[in-house]
Amino acid sequence: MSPINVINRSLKTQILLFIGILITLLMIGISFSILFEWRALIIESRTQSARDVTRAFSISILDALIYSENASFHLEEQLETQIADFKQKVPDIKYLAILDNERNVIGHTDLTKYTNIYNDPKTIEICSTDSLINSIYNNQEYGWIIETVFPLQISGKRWGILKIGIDAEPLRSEIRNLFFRLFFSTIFVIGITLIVLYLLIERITGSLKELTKIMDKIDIDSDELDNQPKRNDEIGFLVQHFNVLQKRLAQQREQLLSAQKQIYHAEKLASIGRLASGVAHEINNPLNGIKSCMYSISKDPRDIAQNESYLGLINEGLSHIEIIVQKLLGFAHQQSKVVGSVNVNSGIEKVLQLLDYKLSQKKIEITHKLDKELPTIYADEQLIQEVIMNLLLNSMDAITEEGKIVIETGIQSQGQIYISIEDNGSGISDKDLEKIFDPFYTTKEIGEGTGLGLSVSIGIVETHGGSIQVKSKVDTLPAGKAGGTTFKIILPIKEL
Amino acid sequence: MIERKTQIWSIIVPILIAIIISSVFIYNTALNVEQPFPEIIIKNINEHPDTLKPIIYFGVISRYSPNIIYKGYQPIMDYLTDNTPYKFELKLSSSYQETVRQLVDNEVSAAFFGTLIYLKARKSFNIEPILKPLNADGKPFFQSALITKEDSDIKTISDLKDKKLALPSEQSFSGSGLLLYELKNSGLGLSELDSIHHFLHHHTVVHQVLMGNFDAGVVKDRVAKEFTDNGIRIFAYSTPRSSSPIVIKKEYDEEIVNSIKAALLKVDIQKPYYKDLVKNWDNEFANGFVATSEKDFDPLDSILQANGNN
Repeated sequence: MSPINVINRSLKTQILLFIGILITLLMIGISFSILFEWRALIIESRTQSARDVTRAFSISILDALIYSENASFHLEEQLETQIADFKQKVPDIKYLAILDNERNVIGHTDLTKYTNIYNDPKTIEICSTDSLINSIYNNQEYGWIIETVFPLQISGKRWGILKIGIDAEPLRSEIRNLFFRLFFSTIFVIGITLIVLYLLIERITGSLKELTKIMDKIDIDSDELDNQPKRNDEIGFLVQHFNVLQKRLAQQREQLLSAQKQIYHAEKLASIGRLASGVAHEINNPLNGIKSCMYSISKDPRDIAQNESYLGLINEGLSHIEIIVQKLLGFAHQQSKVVGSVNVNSGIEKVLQLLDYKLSQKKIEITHKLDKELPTIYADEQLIQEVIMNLLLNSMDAITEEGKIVIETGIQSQGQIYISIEDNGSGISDKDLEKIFDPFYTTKEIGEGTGLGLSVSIGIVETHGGSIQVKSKVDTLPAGKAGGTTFKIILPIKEL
Repeated sequence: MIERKTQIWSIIVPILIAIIISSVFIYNTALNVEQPFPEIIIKNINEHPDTLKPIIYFGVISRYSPNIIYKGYQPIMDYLTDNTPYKFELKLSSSYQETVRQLVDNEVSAAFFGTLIYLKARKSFNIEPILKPLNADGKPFFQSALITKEDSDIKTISDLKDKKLALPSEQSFSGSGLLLYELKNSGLGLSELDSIHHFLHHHTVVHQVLMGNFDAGVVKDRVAKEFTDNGIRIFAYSTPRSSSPIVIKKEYDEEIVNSIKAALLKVDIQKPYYKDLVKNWDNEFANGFVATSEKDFDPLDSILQANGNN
């Protein structure tokens, strides 16, 4: 991962880096501009001080030179005394030289330099100045010095120049101290700023993280984020809007559930319609029996023994009809999701009873491979039966005649069971296989299917935390029986 | 997480290195305080026109300390150098008499004299005055001022009785001639003073009075006015007398003398150029000059003789 990607991935890193760099650059810029402003002031101050010292000393030197015009005045002695006194009073003075107009040394702190003549170009140049001038440079002999040159003259009368070298190390030391003071102050301010920035960002992103965690753990049935502390900032604003969003989601969910119920019911009614011929047959047989019994009773009402026998048969026929109708009502009954302990094998048996006539009509052989040790699961029995009913109806529809359906239950893995419904029908093409769970998708003739059966089934199974796997092979032979489809419902045992 | 931290450090570390490198660079730049001398156009003194001119020395009596003389008189020398074919230089002396000797011995071509020393010297030497300065009223006179401390009780000359009096050189008019004449006019005899002491310079007299060593003093009016706002009060003036002349040796080089006269008589302080020019001149000469002759000083001679000054 490149550094740029790292930056792009974290909002905290982005803010910290960009604002951190911005603040750092700004602080450095400000500090350096202060440094150079102060540096200029320090240099100006020190230079001015050196110039003042030079001017002050030049007064006495000039007096001495003027008085020296009196023959009785001993200039050299006077200069030497004054230079020594001045050097003692101003310890920063590295050297002091007085040159006459021919640049002969007539006074110097270094007595060995008396009678020297300065004829180097630099001295010739600076000796021709009409005013006080100064320079700062690293002298080979004295180190860093502020050198001042002052012409000893009154109007047009000139006696020579006064040259003073004042130690510039205190000046550099002051600048050095200033640099380090500013450097560490800048680091301190940047550090504090970044820490404050970090804490601030941490607080903001922490709230976002907290919100994300709450979103992850959210109970979709709950109306509000009750556990989120009330805040007046943008995060609080976000939480408020999230609550509004959640309410809207809950409303949408209710509407969706309502629509789902209607779809389930419609699909159930459609299933009942498809069961109608079978149910009619189941009811018709006992009705014919009852009818025959009624006829025999009416022919000889006095034969009590026969009547009692026929009444028994009538009662038996009505009981059979009652059972059929109760099963049908039980399947068609629309009720809210009621979860509880469900015996899946028992549910399969109930659904098969409803389909018994249709199965026999199509001469479909049912093979049970039900795991007797199968644990009960925590689910809605009605919905699970509906799923089994839908898949069995689909399998029956896939079999033209004399087919075979294998129903199997068992343990899928720890905490999960499976219900497998395998037929040897026409099979489903790969193209159709991708769409079979889409709502209203059907390969059946118009009026034969709603296209909602598998869609409703996968919805029910996923609501229970399970899944449906399907594998199919299309029957390509004219005689058939070479294809087949297997639906495998996987459901959790415990409530999610 | 570890990889992410490593990646972040891979951004921060180069930034830190850049900051450290730039800090080191700025540290070195800040400490390099090198500043060269300003560019100076070297004047070849030997080729300057003034250096080719003949040097004329100008004497000055030692009425002030040498540095005050240079500050006030050197600008006049510069002016003369600029306005004549000669280069003028001051020649100081340690006494009034030495200036007289310098003039007589041709060590100087001309000299600023005091009135009294001129009157005395002309009796012995062949000298003559050529110019004398004008005062603020445009008149060729000066006055001596009697001064005391600002808070002193002395209000008139008669208050000087039993007081200590500081005076400039005995060779100056303020230090001698005036005293005798003005005291006599006020009915005060010398013996009625507590003491009299002469100092070399006029400024020394002022300082002695300021320090309280003397109750009063006599100085040139131009010197007294320098200190009137600085603890000195003028309580009397002498009668205006002919101002201190510029003196030459008689029959001296006429061309030089005429050059000096022409240049100084040209100074007209009504003109802005000269008004600005004389700002640095000694106040005594800041109003220009007028030509003079021996006759202008004859009346003073009689006063001196009447008071026993010879």
